[in-house]
Amino acid sequence: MAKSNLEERYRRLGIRESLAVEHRYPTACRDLSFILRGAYDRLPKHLKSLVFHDTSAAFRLLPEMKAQSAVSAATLLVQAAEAALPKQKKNLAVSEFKRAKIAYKKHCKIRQESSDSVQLPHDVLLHIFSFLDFQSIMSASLVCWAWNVAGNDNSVWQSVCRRTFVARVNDEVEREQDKHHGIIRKDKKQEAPTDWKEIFRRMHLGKTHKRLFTSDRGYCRLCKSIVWLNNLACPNPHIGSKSTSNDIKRVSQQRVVDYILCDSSSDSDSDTGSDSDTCGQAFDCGNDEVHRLWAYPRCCSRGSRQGQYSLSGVRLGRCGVVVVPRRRVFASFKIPVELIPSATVTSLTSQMPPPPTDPPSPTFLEDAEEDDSLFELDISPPHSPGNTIPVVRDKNLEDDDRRYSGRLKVGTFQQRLLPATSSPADKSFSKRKVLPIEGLYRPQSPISLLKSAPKFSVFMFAKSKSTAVSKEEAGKKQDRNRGSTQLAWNFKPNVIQPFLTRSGSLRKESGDDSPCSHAPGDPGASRRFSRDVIHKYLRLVKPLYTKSSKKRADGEAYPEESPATAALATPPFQAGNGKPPLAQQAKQFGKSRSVSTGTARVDDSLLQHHDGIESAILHCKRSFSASRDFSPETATRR
Amino acid sequence: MSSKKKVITLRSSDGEIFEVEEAVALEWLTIKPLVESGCTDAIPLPQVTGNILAKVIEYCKKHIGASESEDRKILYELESWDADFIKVDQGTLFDLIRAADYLTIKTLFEFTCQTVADTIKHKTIEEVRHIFRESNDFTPEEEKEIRGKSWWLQGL
Repeated sequence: MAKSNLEERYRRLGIRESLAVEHRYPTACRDLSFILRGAYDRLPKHLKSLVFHDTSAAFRLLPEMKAQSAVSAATLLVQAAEAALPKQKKNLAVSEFKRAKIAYKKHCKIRQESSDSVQLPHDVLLHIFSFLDFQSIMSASLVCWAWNVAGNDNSVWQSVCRRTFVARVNDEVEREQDKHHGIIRKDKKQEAPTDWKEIFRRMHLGKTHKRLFTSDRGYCRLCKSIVWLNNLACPNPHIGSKSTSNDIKRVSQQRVVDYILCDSSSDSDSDTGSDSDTCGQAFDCGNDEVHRLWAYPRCCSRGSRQGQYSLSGVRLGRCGVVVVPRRRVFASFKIPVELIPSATVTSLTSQMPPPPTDPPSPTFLEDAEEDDSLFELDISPPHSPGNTIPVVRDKNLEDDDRRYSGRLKVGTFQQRLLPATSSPADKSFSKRKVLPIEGLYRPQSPISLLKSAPKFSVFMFAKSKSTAVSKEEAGKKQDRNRGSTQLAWNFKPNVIQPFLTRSGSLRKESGDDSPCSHAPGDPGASRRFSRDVIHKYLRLVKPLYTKSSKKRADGEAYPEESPATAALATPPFQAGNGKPPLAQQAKQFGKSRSVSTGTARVDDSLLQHHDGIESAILHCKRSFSASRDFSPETATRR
Repeated sequence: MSSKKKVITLRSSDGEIFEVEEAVALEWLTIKPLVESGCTDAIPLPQVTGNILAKVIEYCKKHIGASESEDRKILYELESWDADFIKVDQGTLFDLIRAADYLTIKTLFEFTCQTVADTIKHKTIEEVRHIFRESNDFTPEEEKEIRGKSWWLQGL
C-alpha cells in the first residue's frame, strides 16, 4: 500500500509531463535532482526505475530547450545522478547527458541563423507581461525600450501585486491612499493613482524567501498534493470551490522530496493554518539544537514562533521593535539596532497584537514575522553551557545587504553612525584573529561561524582575574537592573560622548557585555545591558581608562593610529611583556597607563579586558558602517 | 443557407473564403454585431491572413462548448490538443496573437499570451532578446540607469 502511495505521489508531481514544457523544464529538472539526492535510496525498486527513466527523458529533451537555465538545471541533474545512481545507470545517464549537450549546442547554432524581427503591439505586451512574475518582468523590461515601457506599466504591476500579495494588497493600498488624502480618502479614492510598482517594491523588500516566492511549485490544500502553479493558483479544477491563493503554499524542492517520502508533513502543513505562505515548517527542531539551526534555519525560527511569546525579550523587526520569544534574541547587525527594555516592549506590544495570531497593525510586520528577514542573534539559554555562543544567523545572505540598505531609509531607527572606522586596525585585527567576537558577529556563513565558536570560549575563559572582574560586573549590573527582567543593549554609538569617538572604546563596551551575558545564575532569558549602565559602570570601575581614552579622543580627531589598536588587539601576554607595542601604548595612554604598567599583573588583566571590549566595539562599528556602505548605489554596481 | 445552423462567411486579407458556424463567430466580439445584424455577405477581415484565420477557426471550433465542460477527461484532452496546437513558430504565434486581439477572441488571446509569457519566464535578458529577435536599443548609460533603479530586484 505504501508502495503504491509513493508512486501515486510521484506521479502527481507530474515531472515527466512538465519536462516537455519549456518553462517548467528547469524546475522539473531540479525537482528530479533533489529526489535523486534525497530520496532515491529509499524508494521502492519500480519507482527507482521510474525516476531513472525520467532522468534520461530529461536529458533527451534538453536539446529542445532554449534557455541557459535549462542547461544548468540539467547539469545539476546529472551531478545528482552521478551521486545517487548505481554505476551502470549512472554511466547511461551521463552519456545521455553528454549527447544531449552536444545536440543542444547544435540546435543553438541553427537557431541563431534565422532572424526576422517581430514586434508586438503595446497592449498585447502589457497583457503578456501581466502573466509574468516580477523577476521576469524586470529582465524583460531590459530587453528593449518598447518592452521597458510595457514593463513599467502600472497595470502590469497591479496584476503582479494582486497575484503575489493577495490579501495584503488592499491594506497597502489603503495605507497609500491614507498618505495621500488623510481622512477623506474613502470619498476620493479614484483620484489617487496608485503606484503599484512602488507598492510592490515595498512589500517585496520584506520577503526573504525569494526562491520560494517565485517558485512555480505549490502545495494545494484542496488537491492535497504538490501542483504546478498557474499564475499562482492551482490549475486543477476543484469541485465546489475555486482555488484561491490561500489554499496554495509555495514549496521548495526539498519539500518536494519530503512530500514524496512522507505525507504527514504535508498534512501538518495544512493544519498549521494560514500564518505563513511559505513552507518548510515540517521540520521539527528545537531551539536548543544550535547546530540544526544551520540545517534548517527557517523552521527554527518558526519553532520559536510557535513557542511561547512571553515578553521577556526584544526582537528587532523591520519596523522597529517587536516581541521576542523567551529564549531567543533576534538582532540584526546590519541595521541600526536599538534594543529597549522590556517595559517599553510591553507597552509597545500592548498596542500591537502578537504576530502569529493576528495581523499586526504596521503593514510590514506580518511580513517580517513570516519571513524572519533578519539576521538573528541567538543567545541560547544559560542552562546549556555547550551552546552559549551567540550565533548570528544569516538567512539570505546574498541580498540582505541591499535590502537593509533599502530599509535604512524607510526604517524608524535613529541612525547615528560614527564617521570613520580605522580600517588599518581592522585589517590587522582580522588577520591576527585575536578576538573571536569579530568572527562571530560577522555573518559570513554557517561554517565560519561554527568554526569561530571555540575561539569565543578562549575569550571567555581568559585569565581568572578578568573573569572575576566580569562576574563582579555582572553582579553589579544585575543589581542595577533588577527592576526590569530584561536589560537592553544600545548599539547606537553615541557621538556626543567623546568616550565613544574612539573606535577602541566602542569595542570595549561590547566586549564587556559578552562575558556578562553568559554569566551564571541568570534564570531564563538572555540578557543585554544598556550602554548607559555600562558607562556608569565603567566610570566606577575604570576611571583611569575612561580618563585616558577621553584624553586621547580629545587630542586626536579620529582613531586612525593603527599601532595602538593593533597593540590592543594582540594577545595580552604579548602586550604585557614590555615589547614595543606596549611601549607605544604606554606613550599613547599617557600617564595613567604608564603607571599601570608598573604592576604587570593588573595590567595584564586590564589589557586583556580592553582587548575584548575594544574588539567588540570595533566590530559593532564596522557592521554599522558596512550597512551604511551598502547603499543603493553600491548595490547597483552589481 | 443551411437549414440547421447559420453559416457566416469570412474573407481573409488574401482573399480566402472561410465558412464558420454562427456560434463560433459570435465568440468573436469584433464581428459579433455584424453577425447579429444578420449580415449575409462575406465579412472582410483585412488584418488576418488565410492560414492564420484557418488556425483561429480550428481553435475556436475545438473550444466551443468544450471549455465549459466539467468533465476532467475532456479538459485534459483539450489541454493536450492546445499544447499541440500552439507548437508553431514564433511568427505564426505572434500572428495568432494579433488576430486574436483584432477579432477579440478572449480565450485564444489569453492562451497565446500565456504561451509567450511562458517563453519569457526563467530566461536571461540576452536569451529573451535572442528568442524575440529584439535588438538592444538601450545605450549603455540608459541600461545602467534602469538597472540602478531596479537594484532591489536584481541578483535574485
